[in-house]
Amino acid sequence: MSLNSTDNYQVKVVAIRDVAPTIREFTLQGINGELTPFSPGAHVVVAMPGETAEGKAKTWKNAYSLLSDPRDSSTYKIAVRLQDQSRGGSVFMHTRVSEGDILEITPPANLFAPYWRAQKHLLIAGGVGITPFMSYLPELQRAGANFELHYSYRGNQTGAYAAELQQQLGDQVRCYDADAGERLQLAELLKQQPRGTHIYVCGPELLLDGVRQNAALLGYPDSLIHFEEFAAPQPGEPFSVTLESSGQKVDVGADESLLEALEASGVKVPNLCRGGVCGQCVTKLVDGEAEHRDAFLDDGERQSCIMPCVSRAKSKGLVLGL
Amino acid sequence: MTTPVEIDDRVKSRPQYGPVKLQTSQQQQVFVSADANSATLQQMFDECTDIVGPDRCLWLTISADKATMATELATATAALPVATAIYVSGDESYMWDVRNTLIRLGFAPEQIQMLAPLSTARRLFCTHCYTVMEGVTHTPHKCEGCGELLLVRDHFSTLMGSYVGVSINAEDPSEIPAPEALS
Repeated sequence: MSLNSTDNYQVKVVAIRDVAPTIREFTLQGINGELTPFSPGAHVVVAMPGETAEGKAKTWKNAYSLLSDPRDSSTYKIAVRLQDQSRGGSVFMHTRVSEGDILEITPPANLFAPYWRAQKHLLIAGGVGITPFMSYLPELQRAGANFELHYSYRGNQTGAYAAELQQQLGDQVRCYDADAGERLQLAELLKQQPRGTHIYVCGPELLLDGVRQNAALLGYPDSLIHFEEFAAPQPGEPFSVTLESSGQKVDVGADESLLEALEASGVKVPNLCRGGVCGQCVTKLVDGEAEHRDAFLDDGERQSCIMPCVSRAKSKGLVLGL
Repeated sequence: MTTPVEIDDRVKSRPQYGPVKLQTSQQQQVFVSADANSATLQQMFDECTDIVGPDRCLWLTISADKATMATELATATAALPVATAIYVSGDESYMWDVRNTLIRLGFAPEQIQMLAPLSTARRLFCTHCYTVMEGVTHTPHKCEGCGELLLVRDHFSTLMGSYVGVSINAEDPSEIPAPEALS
């Protein structure tokens, strides 16, 4: 029996291995049925029931790209980088999860699918940002698509799969180990791309900004560049929100997101990426000034809406249309 | 906070052609027309050449015949970089044919700019027999395929580069409204 695409999946961690000094790979197998195939670039949200530094129970939910072959429904693979400023999610995955453990994940969702009509696919990965492209590659190869992968990393920390990719793909992949002094020259790379090229970027903010700036200088059309930019919500000052309908007050701690605080008080908000890009959790902002950290709302919408998965309050409190 | 709502009674699908600006940050500048009779396009080309130099400006004369157009554009743009700005001048249907061909070749809609059409003549698509007619200047127009008298609507199909024509006197074929010039 195969699992449906709406209910969460219970999965068993069947293998764990380190694929770079700070990156650990997890192989997940469905325990109440066979997993569904997915589309290249898809991710799942993993629920991580742990506790805070103060010993309070807390469930983190982080999105991770699926990096196995999209047509292989026997197992899913994800890779987690231990973040220097982890709020708990990546630490949980690195220290608390062992082989044989059961985790709960959402069905795959995709905010970073390839544009199949492109005549050439230029993939640019930075560090752990290689993960969504791991599911692109088998499909691009099957389709006989024209593609190139440029992969930059710091060999002392990241660089997962670099050796095997070079072996499998030969000239179609270029690796740049910054710790060995190798640099990806974005301006040069973007300048020489032919008509019909689509560009896909996943990696740290610095890489995304680099691509954005160089593309803008060259006059690239925006619709040809695709970013996968969800990042874990960053901490901030504590604040509180009031719900317009019930008058209920919810306190948001420094290290939790507004969405997490709402969920912890039993308020259900539809959500998908939990990283400020998909738009699912958009919530009406009735009063107060928000600190917008999402990549979804435009300036007009920001007057009356907030994305609680990443955004916070600038003023002491907010009133939400919930 | 409420935003005042203005009711716009134009047909939404009818394209509007604003002033076209040179996008000189793009690496390659391409000017497309069927013949050299667009003074505005020529003027833009000259201005652009002065700003970015002749090496980055390309003037293309492309046939209005769809099949020939596809071959000519494919060849002429094969070596162009992603960052190309394209300016098209001509009759409305011609410009849309050029645009659609370029999109199929891999360019993005926002890098193709169309100047104001050189005439008010329209391509017309008969919704009854699917005949496509060129150079229609008045409504109603007798369909060259099925003979139906067609009201030339402002509803525009970007894919066909064409306006839509529907029977104007289906109830009483003897009713023949006086022709009006299209704008």
